[in-house]
Amino acid sequence: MHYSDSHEWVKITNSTATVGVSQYAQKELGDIVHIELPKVGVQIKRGQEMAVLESTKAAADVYAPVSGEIAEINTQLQDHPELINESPEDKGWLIRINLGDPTEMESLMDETTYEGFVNK
Amino acid sequence: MDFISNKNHQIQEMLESMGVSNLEELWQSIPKEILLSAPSQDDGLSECEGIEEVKAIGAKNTYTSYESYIGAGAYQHYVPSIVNFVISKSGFLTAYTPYQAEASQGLLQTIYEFQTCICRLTGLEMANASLYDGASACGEAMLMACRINRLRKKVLVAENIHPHYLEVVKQYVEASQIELVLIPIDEKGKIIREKFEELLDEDVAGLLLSYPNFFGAIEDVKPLFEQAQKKGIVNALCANPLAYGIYECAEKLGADIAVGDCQPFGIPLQLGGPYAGYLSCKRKHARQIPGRVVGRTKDRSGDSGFVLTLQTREQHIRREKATSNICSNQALYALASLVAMLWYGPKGISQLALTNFQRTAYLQKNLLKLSKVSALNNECIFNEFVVKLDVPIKDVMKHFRDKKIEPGIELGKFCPKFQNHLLINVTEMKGIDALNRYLEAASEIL
Repeated sequence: MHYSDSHEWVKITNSTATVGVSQYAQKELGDIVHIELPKVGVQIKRGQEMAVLESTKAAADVYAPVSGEIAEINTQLQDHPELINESPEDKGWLIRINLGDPTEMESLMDETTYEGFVNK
Repeated sequence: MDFISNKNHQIQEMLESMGVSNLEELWQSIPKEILLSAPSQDDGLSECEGIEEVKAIGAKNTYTSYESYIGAGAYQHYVPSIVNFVISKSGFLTAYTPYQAEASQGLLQTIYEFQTCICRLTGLEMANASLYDGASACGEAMLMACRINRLRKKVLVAENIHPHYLEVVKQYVEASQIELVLIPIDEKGKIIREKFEELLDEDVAGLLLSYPNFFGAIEDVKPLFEQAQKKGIVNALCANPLAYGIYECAEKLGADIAVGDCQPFGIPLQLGGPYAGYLSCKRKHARQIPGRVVGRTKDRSGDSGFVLTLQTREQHIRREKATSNICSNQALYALASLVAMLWYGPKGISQLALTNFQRTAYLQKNLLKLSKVSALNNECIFNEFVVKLDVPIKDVMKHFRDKKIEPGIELGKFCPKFQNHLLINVTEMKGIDALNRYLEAASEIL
């Protein structure tokens, strides 16, 4: 699993990237009450706003950690936004992207580096 | 507010405590050229003298002695006495958007009830706590449409919306790098259907239509909204809220967002403002609604109470990404509208709307019998209509004014394409005698 400095995680299976927000981000935001996700089929660039997570205290943007086409969104989140808090790095995944440029992965942090990053 | 001037010895005392010898020394940092040259200790007029002087200036205004048929966005309706009685209560009169909101339960309740009334009128599921006016509500509706359709970059606005509203909408959308495309109208002031259809594409985020339009006509907006909806466009309707008393509500017409000005309900003309704007929408768009929203909830002992809700989208949290950067509302005039709406009640609003329509129709029908008057179109109207004159409009205006009547607005001043047309508004304030005086004056020149 890889991480961006804006606290998104990416997991690659074949050429599909599953994206979500990190345990750290979830804790910072507090209880998530609403999630806005992009539409399937939309082209997205790295660094672009792709989703909005609204908690009881803030509404935060989620940025695309990699470029590509939105292949799938986690439809379960619409009725169960709490999945982000309960299982941010598994059941609470946000979207799947058909990876446009695999080299973009190189700019992301691995788990140990990210751990150091958030504990700085 | 009282102003208590300082006595000489008091001024001296204050100067001494500051260690300054005179007033000139106190003001030395102010550039001389902007300093008022009037004597600093002019006590001016006494209250009594002042009132006399202001009254004398006020007496030069003659407009109150004219019977006015001027509408075009601001309408002379009766303001029930209870409106001023309620809004003059200091708890309401002095309140701004509440900062410690939940401590002001009474104020929150009035906003909540205002939102409820707007929902009942428009048929849509939710409404905000009000906006500045009808024009800014239109601007906000278009920005809202663009937030809902995030990747689209155009909005369509009917050319027959109030020209001042159009100017405001332009300012709103252009600042957000959104293109505003006008839907052209024909020589009768109606939307050209074919042109409208050509403009619908996948890059259009929102559509704004007016109901009635600036020419007073109730156009058949339903099929237009249906077509737009097929393209995923967010439909917004700008309407005179009183028109909903007899015409179908925004929801039935296919609108996603309903906006307009509350002025017809309980807000006097007061030289053009302040008024209050309303904005309501479908529940599914709740998170994109601009401004403040009051919700009802239960406290920990299970009692009902009111809170500001959906605040995470407001600017004190979302900063530049807020749904709107106007977080204020028009609480006092929204309350005035609320009191008027409650005073009339659902049945009363329908009757009031019907009276407006009937009196307007009476004047229109009889005016059109005159040889030098013709109709702009044969559309349905509410309380305003346009006639074309075969006599120079300047002469017509002068003739009416000599009879102490303001016959309406010279449409050409707003819409250059419509020279020598008169836009006439009739409300419940014009009884049969007044209308007949209008017709008599008209028959002498037209």
